[in-house]
Amino acid sequence: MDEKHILARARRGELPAFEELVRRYEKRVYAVALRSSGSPEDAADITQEVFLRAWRSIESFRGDSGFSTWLFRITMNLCVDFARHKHAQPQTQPLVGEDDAERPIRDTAPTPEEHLDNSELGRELAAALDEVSEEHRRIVLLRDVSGMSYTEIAEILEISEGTVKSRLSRARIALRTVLLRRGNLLPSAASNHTKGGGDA
Amino acid sequence: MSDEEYFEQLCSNSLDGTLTDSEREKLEAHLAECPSCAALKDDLERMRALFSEEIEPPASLHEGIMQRLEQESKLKVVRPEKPARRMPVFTMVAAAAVVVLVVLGGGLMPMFSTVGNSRAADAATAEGAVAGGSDADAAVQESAEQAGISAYAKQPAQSDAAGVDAEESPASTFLAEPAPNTAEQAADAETSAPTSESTDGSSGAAAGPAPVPGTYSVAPSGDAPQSARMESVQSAITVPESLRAMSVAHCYLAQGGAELPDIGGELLATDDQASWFLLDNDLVTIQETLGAVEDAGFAVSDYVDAGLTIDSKASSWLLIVVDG
Repeated sequence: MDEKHILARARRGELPAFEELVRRYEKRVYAVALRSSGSPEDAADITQEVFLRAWRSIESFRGDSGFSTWLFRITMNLCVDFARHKHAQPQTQPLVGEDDAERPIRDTAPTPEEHLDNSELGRELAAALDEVSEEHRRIVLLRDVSGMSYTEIAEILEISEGTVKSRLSRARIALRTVLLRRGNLLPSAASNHTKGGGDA
Repeated sequence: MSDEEYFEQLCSNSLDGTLTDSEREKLEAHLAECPSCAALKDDLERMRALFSEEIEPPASLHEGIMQRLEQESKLKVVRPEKPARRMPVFTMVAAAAVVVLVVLGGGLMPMFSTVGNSRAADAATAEGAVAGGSDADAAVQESAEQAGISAYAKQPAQSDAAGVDAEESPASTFLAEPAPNTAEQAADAETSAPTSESTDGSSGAAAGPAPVPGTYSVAPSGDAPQSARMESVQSAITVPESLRAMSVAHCYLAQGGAELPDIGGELLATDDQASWFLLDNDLVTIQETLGAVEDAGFAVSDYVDAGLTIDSKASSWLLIVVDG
């Protein structure tokens, strides 16, 4: 069914119409939430909250932008809020030390070649994303996880497409630097290269 | 941008498939002689593969989302978030019912009787037959009773069940505090009402203590329980006869604003109480129009009128702007 038609019905408060929108987007929203939070439980909570907020404010969605743009703006904001909240309550991450200076200690645990299962991979990606700036985290999540186009990202972040390209490039390089330093996902030879730098 | 940054960005863009032919050639030539950039591109590609790896959400995700939304929807019904926006809807509901009353009890009945078994006549009868409340204005109820019975008497095509309703609870107007059993009777009448295409909200609303008619619902879609909480009906607005046989995709009611903005539709009718506009049924028109009307200070609510068939495939929708 045409999304405009579904939207018009959802705006009138028809839950079955909104459910169709949930079906279309829940997987991508969940993927972004999972990569951002690193925890399937947290990702499910974030995803629920995204659709709850969207449902509450669907009446105010005016169609100036696409629905996906609007929905992923909500998603990004919730992911960022969630990450901040988590930082403010460090008891959920008991391994984190008393200050940031202790962070590198965590990096010594697994060897580069060690196999990571899915949940470990997820946690590692989320931890790496956590170390880059919020601006960089957002753009990597939008492009590489949710698969949005430059145009959509430009709309969501309210920047030009040229800025999307350059920011995405800087964000990926910053993330690479973190991953090289952590050594779990970008191991061995790559860390010997100078560009992007690593601690190794 | 330095050369280094330029090639870094090309490496990044190459992941997204957005390089032009000349950019691709330049990058390839550069990578052949710059191991550092070649390593960067390799790493970025591996990262991209990691981040874009397909993620299968848990099977319970969809259900979890929908449960929260359903809870929220129930809460919405219990807790009136925007009572100011709800009142006009109910006012209009009552007004429409009064119109029906006037139509059925007054001089227009001969016209209906000439229609015979047509759908318009059935619809009118259904409206007349379905019942309202118990303890509001006695005079209104009395005249409504007459109207309900006369409607039944003049429409032999009407089914027995609806006829019983007409006799047992014949008020043709929807009152502020309906008796719960009235709603049940209305729900019973659904099975025998002439058509079932007019509203999506009628069956759900019938389960609650709302003044729900058989099929040609005079209840605002999905909001019936809220409307039932309203204390009184202050004013009455008549729906023009010329509009009653229309089929529209949506019907919205705007009330409370001062100056109406330009409406990009056809003004079908106007009187000292309200104006009726017909607009194209596309999302942009709906959103822009309702947005402009809301910006002008009007409260907009969804409204399912008794005399209109709500058909989501219809090519147009109706905006009713209530004066004052």
